[in-house]
Amino acid sequence: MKIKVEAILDLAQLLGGRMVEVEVPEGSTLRALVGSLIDGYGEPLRNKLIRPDTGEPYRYIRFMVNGRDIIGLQGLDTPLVEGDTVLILPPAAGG
Amino acid sequence: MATLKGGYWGKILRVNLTEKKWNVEDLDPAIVAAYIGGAGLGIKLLYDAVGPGVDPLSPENVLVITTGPMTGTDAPCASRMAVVSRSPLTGGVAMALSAGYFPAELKFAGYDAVIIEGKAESPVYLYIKDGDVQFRNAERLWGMMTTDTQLFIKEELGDHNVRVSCIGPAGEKLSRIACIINERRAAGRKGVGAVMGSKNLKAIAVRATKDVPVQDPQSFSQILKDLHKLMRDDPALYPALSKMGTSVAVEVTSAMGIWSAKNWMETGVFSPVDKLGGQAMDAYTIRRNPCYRCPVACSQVRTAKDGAYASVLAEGPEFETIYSLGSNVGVDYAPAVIAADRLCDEYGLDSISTGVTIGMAIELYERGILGKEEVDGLELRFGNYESVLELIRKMAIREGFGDVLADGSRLAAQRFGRGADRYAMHIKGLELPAYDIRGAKAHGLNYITSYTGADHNRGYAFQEIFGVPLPEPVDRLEIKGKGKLTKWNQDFAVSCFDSPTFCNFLNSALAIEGPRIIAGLINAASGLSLTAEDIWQAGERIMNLARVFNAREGFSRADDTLPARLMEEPIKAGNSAGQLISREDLDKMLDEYYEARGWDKETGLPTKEKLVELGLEDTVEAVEKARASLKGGSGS
Repeated sequence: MKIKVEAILDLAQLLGGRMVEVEVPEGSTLRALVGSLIDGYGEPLRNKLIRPDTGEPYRYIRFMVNGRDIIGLQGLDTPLVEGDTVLILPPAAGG
Repeated sequence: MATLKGGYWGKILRVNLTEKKWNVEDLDPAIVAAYIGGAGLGIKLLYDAVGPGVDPLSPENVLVITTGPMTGTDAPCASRMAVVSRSPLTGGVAMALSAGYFPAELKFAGYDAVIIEGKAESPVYLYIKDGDVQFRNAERLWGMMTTDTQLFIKEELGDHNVRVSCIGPAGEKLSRIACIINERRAAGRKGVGAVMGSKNLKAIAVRATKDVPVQDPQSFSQILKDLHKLMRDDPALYPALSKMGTSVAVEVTSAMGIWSAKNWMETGVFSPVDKLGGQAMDAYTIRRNPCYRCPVACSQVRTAKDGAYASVLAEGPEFETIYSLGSNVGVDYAPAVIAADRLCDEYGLDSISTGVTIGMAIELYERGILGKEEVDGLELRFGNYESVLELIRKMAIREGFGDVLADGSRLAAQRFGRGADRYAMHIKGLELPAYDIRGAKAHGLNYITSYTGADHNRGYAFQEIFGVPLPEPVDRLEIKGKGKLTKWNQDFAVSCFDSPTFCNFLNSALAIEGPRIIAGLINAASGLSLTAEDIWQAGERIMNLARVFNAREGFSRADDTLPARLMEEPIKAGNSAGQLISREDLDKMLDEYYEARGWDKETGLPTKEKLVELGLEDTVEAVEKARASLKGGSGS
């Protein structure tokens, strides 16, 4: 199934754009999508997203599915369906 | 109560402009123990000085400028001051903060607060040289822009190390959206510049040499090490904010679909991040300009390099201005936003209120509610930056159509009539900041309940905007839990940032340890014995006192509301499409918020029990009078 992945700043540069479309197997979770992205885009993306000691995302890396923070869903185990949009935001402050 | 051995001077400078007299008063240590300093101290001094019904632009209003116990010490990000008054824009408490170098210099003069009363017969500026105060003629400065004013005063005093805080033409002409500028920074909002103008006070110049004492330097230094470590380890501060400044928030809010556009009609639709985002603005940055003792250095100095505005420089534009004079007026040409930002700073206009008021005027013109003859023949269209720049000039000097807009969106809409108020994007008279709160509910509840009107920094929901999961993770689109969170954010902001004074951008770094660190630093500096719980309670006390001040002026639950557009028209596109804050959602959030605060849900006023708990017994009578008046007014 096709999933739209949106990102900004350094993450967008690594993905080659603010929005890319990726193909993942039916029934994939967000965690599987992140794994698939890292498989596709390699170490630079892994280094931005994942702590080497825990294998979990860095502090304040934020994921939304269709605009909803995954805290309101099932975290990284949120199941995805065809056409979903996943937004990945790096830490930031200001405004 | 202990005496103050450092951090504070224990001194208030009282200046009466009518009589051209000044005197120094002792500051009661019990007051700073209860209100900390900065915003808290300013609100306490305002409450005691200005009774109900005082015209904000009359000599009876006061302009209070306060520093905090951290200002001018070795603490990082603490050169801040609060400017407090009764707002001519909202009618409630005005509290605007500025940073840079002036606040530290003011602290070096030996005062914790300056209370300015009365009205000078003709334009003056104050020169504070260490402890001494001079009243100096400012007639030649009247009409001057803010950079020239600062240069002129430095030259006149023969000292380029003098720091100056001043108003521009907008403040002189009593624009209710006028700000006060020091260096290139602003005590921006709520019309504090008009209050200064109403007193014929053009500027305050300070040159001072006193070191702020710290009674236990070793402990102070040790706690500062902890603070620096928290800052260094905060991924929200470094690298993005430090490198790109607040404009990085364009990328974040645009991706979330909450970067407001075209007078809040086209959030998620018009989102020119490629042209106005932090990365795009980086191309115009020539250097960073940190405030006194700030290692983050978020402030970006930018110059338009070519085109009609080539060589125009601004410190900024900050995220808020990129919205107000960019996306909100349909402009995606960065040099024009830089030029508009500079123009606002020079004329002394709040860039947020200015852009939002112009955005309303454009919508009214495009809808045909305003005719061309009413807008001085300007082609007021979203995206027409030349008209925006021309309107800024007209507003600042109250020329033609600009005169109507110079007092902000609420008063302008009232003057237009014809249903224009539907398009005035303000809360309690204060124009809305950049975040489209239909997609960030706690951030919205803070706009709605802030004692200053729609003010993003009085209870910034960094959990929703930047996903910081502290004190706990939240879902930005959920209604439930936001009353409690908003109380937490507001008490945290006023106790840990606005009062000590620290920059609000340390909010994620200090979200867990903040009150303990603040208490420790204040104690090490002053010899007071505050606990983290005391700091939290001071925050709650300040929020309640501000609410009581507003209650005396007639504010109540009915004023804790939103422009109809945000309750009726969903966001059209992007990652927040379909979101709004319905009236039902608003009521649910307010009920929860008042409950968390211990305020009665019917009127939104503090209960007697809550006031007594916070040591605000003296305010009970005023609140009960306000409550009775509201209940009488509703026929119950």
